[in-house]
Amino acid sequence: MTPELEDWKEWKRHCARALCSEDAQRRLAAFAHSRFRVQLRRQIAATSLLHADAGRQQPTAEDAWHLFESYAALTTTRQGKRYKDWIFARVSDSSTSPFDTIQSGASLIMRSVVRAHLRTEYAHRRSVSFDQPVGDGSLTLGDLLASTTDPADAATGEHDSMAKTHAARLFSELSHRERVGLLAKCMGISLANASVLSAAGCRKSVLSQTVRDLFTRIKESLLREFQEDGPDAVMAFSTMVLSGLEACIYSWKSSEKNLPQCFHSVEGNQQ
Amino acid sequence: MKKLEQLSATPGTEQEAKRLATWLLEWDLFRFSGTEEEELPSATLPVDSRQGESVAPIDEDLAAGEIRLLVPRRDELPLFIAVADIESNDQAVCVPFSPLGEPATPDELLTGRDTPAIRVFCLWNARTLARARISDSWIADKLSTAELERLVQALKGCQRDGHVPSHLRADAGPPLVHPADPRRE
Repeated sequence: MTPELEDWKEWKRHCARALCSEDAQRRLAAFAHSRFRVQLRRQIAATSLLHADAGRQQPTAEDAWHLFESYAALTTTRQGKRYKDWIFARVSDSSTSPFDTIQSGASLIMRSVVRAHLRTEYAHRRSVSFDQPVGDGSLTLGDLLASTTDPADAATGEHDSMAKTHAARLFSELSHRERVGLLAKCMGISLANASVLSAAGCRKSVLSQTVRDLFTRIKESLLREFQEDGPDAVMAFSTMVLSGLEACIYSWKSSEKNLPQCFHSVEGNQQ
Repeated sequence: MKKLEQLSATPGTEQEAKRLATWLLEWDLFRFSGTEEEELPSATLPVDSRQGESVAPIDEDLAAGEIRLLVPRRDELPLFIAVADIESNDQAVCVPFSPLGEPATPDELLTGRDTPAIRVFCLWNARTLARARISDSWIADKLSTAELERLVQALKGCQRDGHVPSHLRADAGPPLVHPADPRRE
């Protein structure tokens, strides 16, 4: 049961689906239900971070339509539902039929609808641990949320200069490949980028492993060296060292003549 | 012997961990769910149809505090923006809303609204643009006076310090400290 162009137009004319004819209501809900299920399947397959229950309870056609209608409706007025105009404004008199264009616009919105649904329904069911692995597993949530220090504290200043010395020593020991991988990471450039791989002189899997090993090595060496200190202090110091290392890598980037263009055309997060 | 004894550190909080974990999940979903070209015939920019009876005319007059939906661009998701300020030289400062539902970084802020499409301000992506460019859009709602004031304060904090002022910190994303953080992508 698929909607017809007239169903969409009827929906657009009225403020809500409930005011459409029964047939149109049924067909529009069936459309929402089918697109919702397709997206749900795709998005659940796309990540390992969802709770295992995700997708077990699927919404009814009515619920799918309700989620679709409420995703971008800012108020209950016609003005608050400008997303309807957005869907219809995609229509042109060119090769794509108005019907297909309207449905593709609704499908685009449905992607976000399903994502928001998974976030609200399933993200918080999972308990969060600071040891939870992130991305390729080389880092944990705790690494990304390392303790912070007060820059106004005099002790912070002293430790900051100690961290910079540490970072400079670490940097001097890095191989060219490690430097390229670290620079790409700092700039948010993918390690799969062909120019990055060419500069590193290896395949993506090797470069990813190199970067993973580098961060593990830094973490372990700091934990070893400061084993008498509390974990929060070590994590805070580690943040300062990494920040120093980032400054070193950007300074190296400015002096290195043979880096590919991608490192110069992206603004990155230079400090 | 302790070497970092004097270092006073504030650990990441449970709330930050939860927020970051949720953002990472949504980011995964956002990145990997966008390949369904077979179901999405490519749309073209509206030309005549925008003037047609079925689509509301764009709202050309611009005012601070408006939440606007930009007219569609080729195959892009709907983009809502907030008008934060109108400058004297016919330019306007606008702040886009994030497509994701959690603030990623200290320069992203929860709006306080529940509607998924406008939950988070992307303050880092604020732009000063000619009024004419922004007014190619529809007014969808308005920020209250308090919401607008909060947005302006947050924006000023980000422009000055790179993060929102301390009284808004609880509604912003966690600090970005690690070079390999996926939020840099």
